[in-house]
Amino acid sequence: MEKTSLNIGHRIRFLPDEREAAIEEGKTLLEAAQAAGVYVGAICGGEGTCGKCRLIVRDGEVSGESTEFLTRAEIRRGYVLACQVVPHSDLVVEVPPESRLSSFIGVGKDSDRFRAFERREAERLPGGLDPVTQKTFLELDAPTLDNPTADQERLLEAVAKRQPGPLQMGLKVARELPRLLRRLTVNRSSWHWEWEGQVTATVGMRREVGEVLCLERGDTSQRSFGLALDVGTTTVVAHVVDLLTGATREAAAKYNSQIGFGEDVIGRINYARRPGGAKALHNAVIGDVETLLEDLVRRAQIGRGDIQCVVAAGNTAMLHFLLGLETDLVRIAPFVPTVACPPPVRAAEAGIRIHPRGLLYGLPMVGSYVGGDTTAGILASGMHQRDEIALFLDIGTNGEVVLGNKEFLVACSASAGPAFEGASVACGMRATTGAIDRVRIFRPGPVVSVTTIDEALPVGFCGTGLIETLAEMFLAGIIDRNGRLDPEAAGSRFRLREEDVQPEFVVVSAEEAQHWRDLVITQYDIDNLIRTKGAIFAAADSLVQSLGLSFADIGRVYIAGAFGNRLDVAGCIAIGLLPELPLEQFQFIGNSALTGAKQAILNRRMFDDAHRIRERITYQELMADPQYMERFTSACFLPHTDLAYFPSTAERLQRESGPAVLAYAREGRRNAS
Amino acid sequence: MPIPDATQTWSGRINPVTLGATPAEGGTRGRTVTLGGEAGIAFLSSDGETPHPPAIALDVLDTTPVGWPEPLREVYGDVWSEPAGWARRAADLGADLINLRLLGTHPDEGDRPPEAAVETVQAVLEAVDLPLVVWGCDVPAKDQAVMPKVAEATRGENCLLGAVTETDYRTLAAAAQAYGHKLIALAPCDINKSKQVNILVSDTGYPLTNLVIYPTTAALGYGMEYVYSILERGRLAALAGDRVMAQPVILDVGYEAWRTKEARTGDEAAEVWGPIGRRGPAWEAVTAAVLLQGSADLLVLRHPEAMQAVRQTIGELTAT
Repeated sequence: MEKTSLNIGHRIRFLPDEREAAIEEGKTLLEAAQAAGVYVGAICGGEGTCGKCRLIVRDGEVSGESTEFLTRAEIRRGYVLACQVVPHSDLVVEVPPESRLSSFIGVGKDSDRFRAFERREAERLPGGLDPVTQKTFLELDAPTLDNPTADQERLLEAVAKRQPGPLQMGLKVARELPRLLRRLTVNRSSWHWEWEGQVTATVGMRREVGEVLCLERGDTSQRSFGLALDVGTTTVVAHVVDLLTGATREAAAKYNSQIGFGEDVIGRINYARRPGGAKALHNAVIGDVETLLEDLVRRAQIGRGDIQCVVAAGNTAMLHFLLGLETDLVRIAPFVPTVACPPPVRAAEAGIRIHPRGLLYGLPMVGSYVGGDTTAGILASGMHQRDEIALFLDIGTNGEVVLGNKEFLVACSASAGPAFEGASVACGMRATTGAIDRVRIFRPGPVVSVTTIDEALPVGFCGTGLIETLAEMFLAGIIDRNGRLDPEAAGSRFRLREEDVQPEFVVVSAEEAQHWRDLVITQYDIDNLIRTKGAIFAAADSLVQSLGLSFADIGRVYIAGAFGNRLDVAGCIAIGLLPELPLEQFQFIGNSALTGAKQAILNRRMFDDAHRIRERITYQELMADPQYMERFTSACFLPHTDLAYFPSTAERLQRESGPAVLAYAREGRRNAS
Repeated sequence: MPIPDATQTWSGRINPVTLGATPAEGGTRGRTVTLGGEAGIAFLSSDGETPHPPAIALDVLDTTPVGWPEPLREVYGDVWSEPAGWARRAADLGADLINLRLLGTHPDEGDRPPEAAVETVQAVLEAVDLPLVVWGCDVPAKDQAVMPKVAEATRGENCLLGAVTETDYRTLAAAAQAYGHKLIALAPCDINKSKQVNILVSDTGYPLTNLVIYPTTAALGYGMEYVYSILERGRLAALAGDRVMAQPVILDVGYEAWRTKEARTGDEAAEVWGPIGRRGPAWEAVTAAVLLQGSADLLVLRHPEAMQAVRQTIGELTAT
């Protein structure tokens, strides 16, 4: 569609994907990328403050602000920050590997990784299958003069026999009722109603009331599906679930397209305040769901109309964006969400095209920073039903921590920052092809060996790679307990960057990586990672201490999040990210938000459980805890200032790194200070 | 009503740290001074003994001081251009130790080379037979050049060297270890940081029992309460058995007290405050006396009258 405009447009071609977009003069390159569907990391949402939307201009003219995020060498190579430059001609732009996001990610891998867990969970469904929407095939007796019950009443009575409880039916369904129950034959001037009485009713739960969502002629009860959705800040995952068997038919995932508007929740909420911003964010996430849906129905060979319900997990902001709700108040004190327990709505109202009368359920949220992903995660872990006290850690940009058992549940949220997701770190990236995910460092040398996702040439570090690098550098004595790089121990891999006097450690050199730059961990990165792990540990510590418990009272630690089971627990303990407990007490539960959503879709009791969990959780605002800062400072040390928390690690360090004097780890009393 | 017995028994004890070395011990000092060793809260003899009452060091600079108020000029003005003479004056006034600051090595204050600093330290060692506390100029790069030389030149004298911090500790710890000196571990008003510095230093192989904690200092009316609470918390942790906090504490009272406007403002501008000759020493003495309650083992002071007053207080508090 050609638009007539006084503005001269420019065509921007993005390599290597050969995507194109036409934009008006004055729009930024980032907007062009968004228009072309090319996702480049933009943590700050286009404010020019994160330095992650790096692109290389191959051909054409641009103008823009200079930036401290690019080195002189990079500028010579044509690097620009997409949000800071405006095209003045047609352009050819290359998206360098570190900015590239393949739009579909390896769900296969993800679902493989956690299949075992999911199967176990499916078997554990209490009361078996009892999905939130159910199809029932009904054969109704024909009305007679003796039994002239109204069509609707007749139908609802039949439904009630199968599914006791109050029922309701909308006008639209009632209008179709006579024609679905009968065959209407029209002859010239006469017509004839012939009773058939065979219909399939879909009943969806709206709290305690069942709604007859739709009626279909004949028996379609075999085609009954639901969509379990995890709307993550970074990734949107969707699974099609067969409501008759409980099996997952197909799974798909993609990056949340909102990334282009800001990499974290706060950036996006800020973007939503711009004119049209909220709409754009809502459309972006709905567009993602639609893309996934299209892919899923094709692969599962079902129709969109066969899907009668969606259960969505996600953090509070994401569920608000999905439902098109105001998000701004989530961000500002006193942090009030618009909706905590979203009532079931027509999925079509939100823009998700399943069955036109199908329902969209959002899982309940505890508060602005503990959302439906956490309630789903607790549900998936089952910690709320056991005697054993468990700790649930969702390690993301907002680290949610839950402590409890069947008696109590307390939760808090630590603003850990995006470092463990690869953001705000010099060579950080998401867990995609080429991301370094395992690191081993050997002394002397030091010699470094790494593995990457898909065994590709290394491009950067994903979260697990960063955590492992930190742990290995620490255990090899390359950084001290404060995270300070020791030039002598780092040897030839120690480097002072030319522009600023920032020390860094070369993990993989440019030659080794066949990359244009060295893959390094800078002193700033190390400090950042230590703060991130400190925030998470301190949050867990605060919860544990607030209940007068110690970590030794914890029977199990559930680790949720994108890390997968590749995360090396021992390394995480060594740096003090995870508490020092026997390794077998740690359990990776992967994308627990999705698992929880699936359980909620498959069993009404579990769906109600999610609501009960929400009601039971006590939220602790860490910022209101005067000791949190103290605990945080204490935790910003490797592994911790108080070695009584990490007695075995202390021993290990003493054994492995020589003269360290570690005898002062006291037994018993902690935090005497 | 009978007075309840509030005596506490503590599992921890503050490390005794001895400074200086007599000829018999390989040094040239006339006597040594031992800090710490407390087995209970300061001055509560019922809790546990205080084998070594708090000691007092008097300040000596390696350059002529700039902007020191009149009461200090009256005491040191005739000798302060020459560190050895100044140290002799401090010894005559009754100091337990000399607190020598190598401010003249500061890149902006003369930038004296390490050799010059070593000469100053040696001159002071020759002039007095008291144990020595030696501080650098607080510019890490320069201190790392100067302090190892000082440590080497004073080998055997068992000095107290300052200060290691969380970012700069390796060089000084190595030098102190090699030449047998004690170390000041600096962490501004933060127990966690203080522990972290101590652990970092001990990770280099330097014994925790040779450290003296410097939590920084604040004068009366200028945040003294913060320092007090840090002192008290650190001491309670140590007595409860935390060996990372079981170090004696040094406080820089003189420097802080003589920065206050109450100590500096001349009589013409502050008539109702009383004469400056009494105000400054009083400010210094009150600051020291209060902080002593929070537990301090070595006070760095400037004015002899303040020293006398603090001595008297210590004497009264430790009298049996």
